[in-house]
Formats: sequence, structure tokens, C-alpha cells
Amino acid sequence: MAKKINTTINNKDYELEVPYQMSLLELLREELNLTGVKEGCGNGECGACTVLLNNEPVRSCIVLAHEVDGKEVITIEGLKNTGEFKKIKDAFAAEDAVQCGFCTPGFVMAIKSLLDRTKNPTDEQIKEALGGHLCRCTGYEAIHKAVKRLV
Amino acid sequence: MFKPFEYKRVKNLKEVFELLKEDEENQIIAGGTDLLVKLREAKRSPKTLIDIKDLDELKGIKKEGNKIKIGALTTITEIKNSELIKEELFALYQAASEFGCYEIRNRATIGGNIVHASPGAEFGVSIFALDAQVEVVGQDGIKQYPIDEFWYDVGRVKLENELLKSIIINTETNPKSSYNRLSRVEGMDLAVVNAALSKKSDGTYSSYFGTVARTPYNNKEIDQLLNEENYTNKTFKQIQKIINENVSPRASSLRASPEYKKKMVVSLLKRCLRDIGELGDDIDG
Amino acid sequence: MVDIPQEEKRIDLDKKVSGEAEFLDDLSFPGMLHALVLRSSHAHAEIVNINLEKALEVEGIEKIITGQDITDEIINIDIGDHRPIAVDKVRFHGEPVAVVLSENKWQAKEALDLIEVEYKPLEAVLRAKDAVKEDAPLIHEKQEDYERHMDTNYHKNSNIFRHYKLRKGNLEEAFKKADKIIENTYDYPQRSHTQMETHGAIAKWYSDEEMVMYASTQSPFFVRTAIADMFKLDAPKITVKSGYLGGGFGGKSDVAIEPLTAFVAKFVPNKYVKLRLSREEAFNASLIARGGEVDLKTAVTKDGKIIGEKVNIYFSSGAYGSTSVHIVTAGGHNSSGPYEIDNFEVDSYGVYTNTPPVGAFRGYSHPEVHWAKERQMHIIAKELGIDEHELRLKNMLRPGSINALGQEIEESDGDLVGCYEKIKNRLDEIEIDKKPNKVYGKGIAAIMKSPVMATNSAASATLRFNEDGTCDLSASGSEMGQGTKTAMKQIAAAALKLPLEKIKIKEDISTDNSPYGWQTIGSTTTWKAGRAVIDAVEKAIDKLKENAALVLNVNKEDLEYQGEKVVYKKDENKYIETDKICFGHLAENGLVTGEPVQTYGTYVPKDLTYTDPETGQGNAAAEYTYGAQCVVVEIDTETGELKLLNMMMAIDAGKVISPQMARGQIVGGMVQEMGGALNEELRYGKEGKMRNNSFTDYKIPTPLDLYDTEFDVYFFETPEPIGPFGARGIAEHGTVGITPAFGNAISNALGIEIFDLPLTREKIYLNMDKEGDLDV
Repeated sequence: MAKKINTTINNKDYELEVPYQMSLLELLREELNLTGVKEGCGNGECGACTVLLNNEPVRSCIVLAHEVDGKEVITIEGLKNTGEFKKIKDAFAAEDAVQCGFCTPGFVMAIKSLLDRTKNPTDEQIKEALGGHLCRCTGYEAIHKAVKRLV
Repeated sequence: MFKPFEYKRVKNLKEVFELLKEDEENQIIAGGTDLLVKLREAKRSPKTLIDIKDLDELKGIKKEGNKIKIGALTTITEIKNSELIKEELFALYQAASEFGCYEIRNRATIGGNIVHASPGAEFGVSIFALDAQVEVVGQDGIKQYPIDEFWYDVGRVKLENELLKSIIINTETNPKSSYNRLSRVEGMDLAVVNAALSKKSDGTYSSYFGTVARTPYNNKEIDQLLNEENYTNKTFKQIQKIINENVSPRASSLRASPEYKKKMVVSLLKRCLRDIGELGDDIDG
Repeated sequence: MVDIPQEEKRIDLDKKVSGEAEFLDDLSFPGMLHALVLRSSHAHAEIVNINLEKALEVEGIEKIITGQDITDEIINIDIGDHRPIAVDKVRFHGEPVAVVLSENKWQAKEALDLIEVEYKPLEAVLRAKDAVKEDAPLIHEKQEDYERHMDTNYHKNSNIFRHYKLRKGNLEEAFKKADKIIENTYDYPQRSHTQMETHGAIAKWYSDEEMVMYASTQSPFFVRTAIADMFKLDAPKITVKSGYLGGGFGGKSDVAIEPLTAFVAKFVPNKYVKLRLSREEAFNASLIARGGEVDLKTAVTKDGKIIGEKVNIYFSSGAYGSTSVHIVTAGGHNSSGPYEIDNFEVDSYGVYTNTPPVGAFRGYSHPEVHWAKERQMHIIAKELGIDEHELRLKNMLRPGSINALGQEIEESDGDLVGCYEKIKNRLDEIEIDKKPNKVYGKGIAAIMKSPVMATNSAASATLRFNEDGTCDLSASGSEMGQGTKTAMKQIAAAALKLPLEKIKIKEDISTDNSPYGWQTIGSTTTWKAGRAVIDAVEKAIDKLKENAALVLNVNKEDLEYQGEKVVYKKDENKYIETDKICFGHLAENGLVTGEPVQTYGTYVPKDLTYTDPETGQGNAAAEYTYGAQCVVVEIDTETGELKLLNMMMAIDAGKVISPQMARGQIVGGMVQEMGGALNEELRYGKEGKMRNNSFTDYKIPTPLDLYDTEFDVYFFETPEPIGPFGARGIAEHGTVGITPAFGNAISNALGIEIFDLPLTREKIYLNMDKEGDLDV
């Protein structure tokens, strides 16, 4: 069963007819080819699929596509032409905070949202923002250093 | 991947009740952080998911006289960020801080956490210790229950074609409270054991422990012992004894053995006492 | 020493941060079918009947494939004990029983749920030590019927499919002479790699029996061979392509889901079929990791000389054996740790168990045996009342020592003592700011690692100069986060003496046209493919000189290659720019002199042999890498909660190609292994169902576990003779000694000895509170 939804994704308006059981993650990856959004677990536990929904980070694997009807979604693809993204990217480059890169877009979304909330996050705020994101390669040291570089 | 279901975002309570009556397998979705994870693994999907996120009457944190009323659709982030909660119901602030992770807190609601009635729920022991009342709304109007009547078993709450509307806590009778939990890793994890303590305005205590019984566990003898003037090792040994004799956590838990859980009840209780200034680092001091 | 040019950032960084980097699941093709797998709900059972009737009625189902569709397809890497889909019997919970193909995944799922399978459950056995008992159920009834590519020394009518024996010296004598014999058993449970990207493959067959596959694999050539072998086809009929991997850690180095994908796709020629594992499947339906129980019996003198040791290792290797055979061997001869033991005997067993098959995992059995060995060293020191550092230093392998394999250790194998002393001294310097209700402990371990590979495991590289003087480089090795493509480019630039921007390296691999590489494993890519790059460069320089000699009209031997130009040694003013000769020299009149420079470099490890069947000795390890590791921990005495304050490693890397990426490998490896030290363990119910196949109950380290941790990594650089500029591989080594470092730290903090991993908060607490009356 499907019904239309109207949503703005990366500043573009869409009218889409998608099944009710489709997750936001599936909508983004499979319907709109926004494959920068990664599926790491499908269970809301790893953070690789993090996107901004009305400017707040959510796990797109446990949001239904129909739940974003009338709302605005930003994915990594919608971020990458912004100056903010460049700053994050440069910090990741300086600290070599990327290895396999599968979790990276999720971390970037979380960091972008953190910096939206506060220009100078405290350690507690950084921990809060990153706490639910898993990375199996870096041991997190370089990611933490990259974020601290942005403060 | 979810199995097919229908989905309806409702605009008013009337629609909810109609849909609930239409098919008993229809389910409410709020934040979806618990429900959707469960549906992924479920053998069958509900016919319709009833999305109640737009029901403003179920949202928000309000102070009404000596009570704080938290709408069931209030997100965990809203609770964590509420100055009112932090100042007046510290245990709930702590529970919100330990809950899931940032992204999950943005979606998950206190109502969802309560109606799923998991033994280690953040908003299990904490609201039990605070003697919360819950408001339930149905076609015949609003009913109110004490939390321990509403939440009566694992995954079971007293709702019949009804919705949890709000959680009401008396701040005057709960001037000091604390919540503590133990997990396997820092970061996102479920509580392996949790504990909450409220020191009441009359000087008495209410302590609750999670994952050691089917519902948040309280033992009046322990609360009595906490009335003692000075805590010594003996006090805690007595508490341990009471726990050992009265609870038998599920042996098949992946997260912790019964033996460890029982010990941790006492350790977490001590942390709660420290949080409210009733115990120093050194037990005898 | 050569200066290695450094990139400002790894070459794939921008693509990965922006989400542009494509992983397997990001690929899709028109008309592509999704493969969904019905998996065994039993760990050990006979399949009595499969009823597809209802499932086939679902709209949109293209095909359902079961074990009955198998004719003679067998996955035979070393042992031909494995079919792509279970036939007649299932041997682990999660084994494929049926596969549904449909363009619509929801329809595929609906059909999957309608397949009815009748099982007759059999007794399941989950741990090696149970599976070797006389009355244990046989998981493979007739091992003698299996074809093998090597003699695994299996035991007939038993679950032992591999028995590696090592015999050195006279152990009996050593036990007689010993002042003390110390005997302990150490357990390292099965784990999951949990790469953030789960396994995936897309396959399409053409009508003429050619197949193309895209796969998330560390070993495209190896996969090609395995699939060709399964279908009895010539290897070139099969094309395997791979790009970026979202983590590998060895879990994508053996064949995993690729034979199954190829098998089911064959039923629907001319259609792409995608199989991508869910996270749950990645836990219980792909390869899992580790799982070894080690018995150590050590003969020591009272002044701390280890004079003999008997080692029994029982690997719980899962339902199929091929991916574990060499783990058993490597665990066997590396169980000595970095010590010289004159009288040494090992019996290392690969044992079938009713769990998913165990495959390679970062460290490849070294972490299992180091967990035992380095805990044992700590305990021996305690029991003898001597300093544990003194004990280790007294017994360490040094130049001239003979190791367990009978190889003589050389200076160039690296500075083990230097690494160890560095870490020991750093540990001594650390001062701890103590808090109430907490205790503190420092723990150390020395490590040794050798790569495990086929004796003919070649690596190669191609170098092709372009018209404008730039060059295209291609080197074997998959990019899975370790930064190999960046490193290969650096190695080429250093050897070619050209700026980095003149070199472009190809990042993806196709078995049709990429230089051959056996597998991306064993921390051997920098070492081996790097050597192949050097070989290609040397050949290119020779060609450049040939071209220059023709143009300058001098003898080739009188020319010196200087990077941007080739210079006549007798007259420095006489030279020609490299970019003018690299494509052959084009004169003004159009005449071409010389040839375009395109070279192929290779390396295959020299003089490797199989081990002797009786003594287990031989030239089985091509190189060694040594190091030392430590942790400093804080433990809450009321809960057992452990916080990591410091983590360090000193390693002899030979030559560091990229200091930043090298540090990232060490830190990443250490933290991954910290997961195994503190929490990770696959748990099974009595009947063998995996109970924690999700991140909910399989807890890997999170950012908050590490936020306050201080890391130190120290590189020693004793050049390795083969590696490019002396470089060794270092990608796995961070994992090797971390578990014993934690175990020893806990021992030092609390005076308790724990022998089985993981060292959970619960286990630490309950060991503290053995009597059950601890003042809480």
C-alpha cells in the first residue's frame, strides 16, 4: 500500500508515492539514490544512517518515509557544498579521522548538528553528540581530535 | 526491512480510538525507536500504525501547583533539556541523560518508554520511586492510576483502546531524587541494572530497582533501613541480604547474571544516596 | 634513509567524508533481483522436507533455490566440506537453506516467510573441548570422503579436521629438570568482526557461462579461483570486481557469501542478483572470529628461565573447516610468543562445532595465543616471585635465537627488547590521580606476529607512464580503510623520485585487468605489494634509461635516473627530462625513439614451505614483527566498571610510510581488540542458537569508552630486507597483546587472575568478590 508524501530533501521539494513500510533510509538510498546515507545495522544502533530531520539528527533506519511527510530532511549530500562541511572535512583530513569511511557520513551529520547547536561545545557536549555512533576502524582517537579541532 | 503495514497519522484522539477499535492488532507509533526495532524482528506486522505525533495535547512539561505534568509525547531530549525537570526531579534528568543516545533521545518519548514496560526502562524505576500517577485517555474520558497499578508486568500496561496521556509527579513530596544505572559499555547501551531513589519530604525513602524482577522492584524493609541515621557497612549488608532473599532475576539474561545484578542493586543504591548527599565516598564517614 | 613523501590527506578522504565513496550496497542495476536467504533455525539438524508451494504463489517471485538444486557444487578451499546451500543437513544456526529471488524485496520477504522446512534436530556441540569428546555428535560423519587441497591431518570419526603438531627439543627432560611447572588454561571465545559494512555481492551470469561479480571482498582473485573451482570452470570465465570496503579485518578475506551469490545467480542468467547481509546475518551467517582454548604447561627454573612448554590448543572452528586450517597452524607455532623455548611441543586442533564457520580476523590466531602466553608469563613471574619484566627479557627471542619453527632470528627481524623497554619505561613514568572507590592497574604484554599466507601468494603492481609524464599505478591490495592505496602511491613516488601529484593510483580492482594479488591479508600489503611496486619502478627506471640512452646517444650504464630527469654521469649538463622520454621520445619531425614505459612488478615470498608433518617446523613464516603493548586501567570496586586511561604500543615497523595512517592502524587495532578484552563474545543458547546477533547485545567499544583515553604509539625502524624502504606490515599488530595487557592490569590492580575472556565488568566484580561477602 502506498500513499503520496510531500517532503523537502536537501532543499528540493518532492512528491513521492512510497509504501507505508518503507523506512526513511530506504527512501533516501533506494528511491532517491542518496547513497551517502549508510545502513550499518538497520536497528538505530550504529549511527551510520544519521540524517537531519527538521534540523535535528535522527536515525533514518528507524524513521518511516511517511513520517517525514511535510518535513525537511538533510543528508550528507545536502551538506557537502556548505562552508561548514568543508571545515569538518578539513578537520577530518588533518587528523586522518577516516579509515574505511562507512561510518563517516553519520559522524559528519552528528558533528554538523553539534556545531549548529553550539559554536564551542564542551567535552560533555561532544560526548553527547558522538556517543551513539560506532566506528570499528579508528578507535575514535582521530575523530575526537578532529572534533576538538573545530572548537 | 519492515513487513507491509498501513500507516495513518491522526489529527485527533477520536481518530485514534476509532482505529484502535477497528483492529485489535493496530498499534500506536510515537517516536518509533522501540516499536520499529521490534517490528523488524516480528513475525507479523500490525495492520495499521497509528502515528500520534501530531497530538499536541499529549506534549509538553508543565508545572501545575505542586505537580509536574509530563505529556506522554514529550521526547527524552525535551526532558533532558528542561530546567524545571533538572531542578525539581533530578532523577528524571539523570534517566533522560542515560537514555539511548542523542539521536534516539530526539525521537523517543517518555510515554513510549513507559508503555513498552521493559524491566530496565530508564523511565521505570525513576518514575516508580517518584510515586508517579499516570493519566490515561479513552473514549470515556480520562482516568488516573498510580504507576504501579498501570505498569503491572513485563511489557504490560493497563490500556484498553486508550492512550497514555501524561505522567504526573508531585514535586513537593519528592524534593530529592536520583537515578543510576549500570551498562556494559559507556555510550549507547541498555541498563543492565538500574536503581532510583526518592527522599520524600517527610524524610522517608522510596527505592526501586530495575531488571531484577518483572516490574520495578521495591522492598519496604530496604526503605525502612534507609531511615537509619548513619549508614554503616552493616546497613548495606542488611540490604544485600534482603535483596538476596527476595529477588530472583532471570538466569537466562544475556546482560548480567542474577548474582551480579543483586550485588549491583546495592552498589547503585549507594550511588543514589551519594547523589542526594546522604552518603560519603567512604561508607563509614 | 629515504624520505617518503607525505600526502596532505589520504587519497580517498574527500570521497569518504562526503559520502561519495561507493560501497557494494550503493551499486544497483536495472532489473536487479534481491536474494533473500532462509536460514537454518537449528544449529544441527537433518532437513526432512522443504515445502515451497505457498512461497511460490507469492507474486513477483523469480525463483526459489534450495539444497536440492545442488548438483556437485562444493566450496573447497582446503577441505571440500562445504556446499553453498545446506544439503540434507544443517550445521549451524544461520546456514542457508533456501534463497528467494525477486525484484521486489518485500515480495521476496513474504515468500521467504512462507517456506516450510521440517527439521529433525540433532544434538549440537558448540565448544571444541566438548566436540573432541568420544561421545560428541559428529558434525561431519565421513571426513574421509572429502576432497582436500592439502593434508590437514584430520582425525577419522572425530570432529577434528586439522591437527598441527610441533615438536622441538626434548620436553620430557625439561619437565624433569624444572624447578616449577605451571599449568593453566586460557579461553578466548568466538567473536564477530562487525565491519560497519556488512558483506555484499552482486553477480550476473551470461549465457556462455561467464560471470561477473561485484563483491565486498578483500580477495577478489581468491574469490575468483574459489568460484571457478566450484563450477569447474576456467578462472578467466569469472570476473570479480571490488572497490572500497567498509571494513574488512579479515572477515572479507576468505570466501564468505560469494559462492552462494554466484550459485543462485546461475539460475537466472542475464540478471544481476544482489545479496547483502543484514546486520543480524553478518553476525550469524557469515564468518565469525577467534574461539580458542589454550592449555599451557610451562617448565621453569627458579631464576626464571623457561626451559620447556607443552601447548594444547582447541579451536572452536565452526561448521566448516577451510577458513580455519591455517589459523590452527599459525596459532600453533606462534604460541611460543616472542620467546625462545628450547623444548617446545604443540598440539593445535581445528575442531568442527555447530557455530558459523570461523575465518581470518585481524591478528589471525596471534591474539588467542598471546592471551594465553602473556597472561602465563605474568602468572609465572608472580609464582616465582620475580619481576615480570625480568622474566620476559630473560627469555626473549634475540638475534641468534632459534624460534619454534626452527628459524634463526636475525638482527633485521626487529628490536623486540627495545620496544619492550620503551613501553616498560613509559609505564613507570605514568602517575595516576587516584579517586575514591577506584583501584588502578598497569598491564603489559610483548608481542610477535608473523604473516600467514600461501607459499605462492603473489602480489604485483603495474606502472604506466602517460604522454604528459604522469603515471598510472595499480597495485594489488583492497582498500578497506587501512590506506593501502595512499601508501602504495607514496612508495611509488619515493622510488620514482617524482612528486605525488604525478602519480595516480587505481583504487578499485577487477580480476580481468588488475595486477594479481592473492589476498589482502596478514598485514602483508605494504610489505609485499609495496615490494612489487618497487620492482615495477626499478623496471621502469631501467626502461627510462634505455630510452634516454637512445636519445642522448650514450651508454645506458652511464646514466643516472634522478626523477624528473635522466642525467649523463660523465657530464651533468647532458640530460633529458623524464617526461620527454617516458612515452618514447618524440622528435620534432615526428620520429619516435624508444618505447612507452609500462612495467609489471611482482613479488612472491621466497623459500616458504609447508611445515614438516611430524615436527611442525619449517620455513612457514616469511617475516616477523615485534612489539610491546600496555594499558592503564581504573576499576570501580563497587561495580567492576573499568575505564581505560592509557593505551600504548611500541612496534618495530621497519620503516613507517605514513606516520599518521600508521598510528591510526595501531590505535584502531588496539581498540578493536579492547572490545574482545572487555565485552565481545558470541553467545549461544543450549541448542546452539546465537543469542546476541545484534549491536543490542554484542557491545563493541563506543566513543565514550575512549574519549578520555591517552594513546601513545612508538615506532622503531629496523629495516626489513624485503619490504619497500625496509617497511613491515603493521595493520594487525595493535590487536595482538591487548587482551593480556588488560588481564595483567586487572591482576595488578586487584590481585585476581582471570583466565577467560571477555573481562566484563561483571566478571571483574565477581572475581573480586569470590567469597560473595565483599563490603559493597
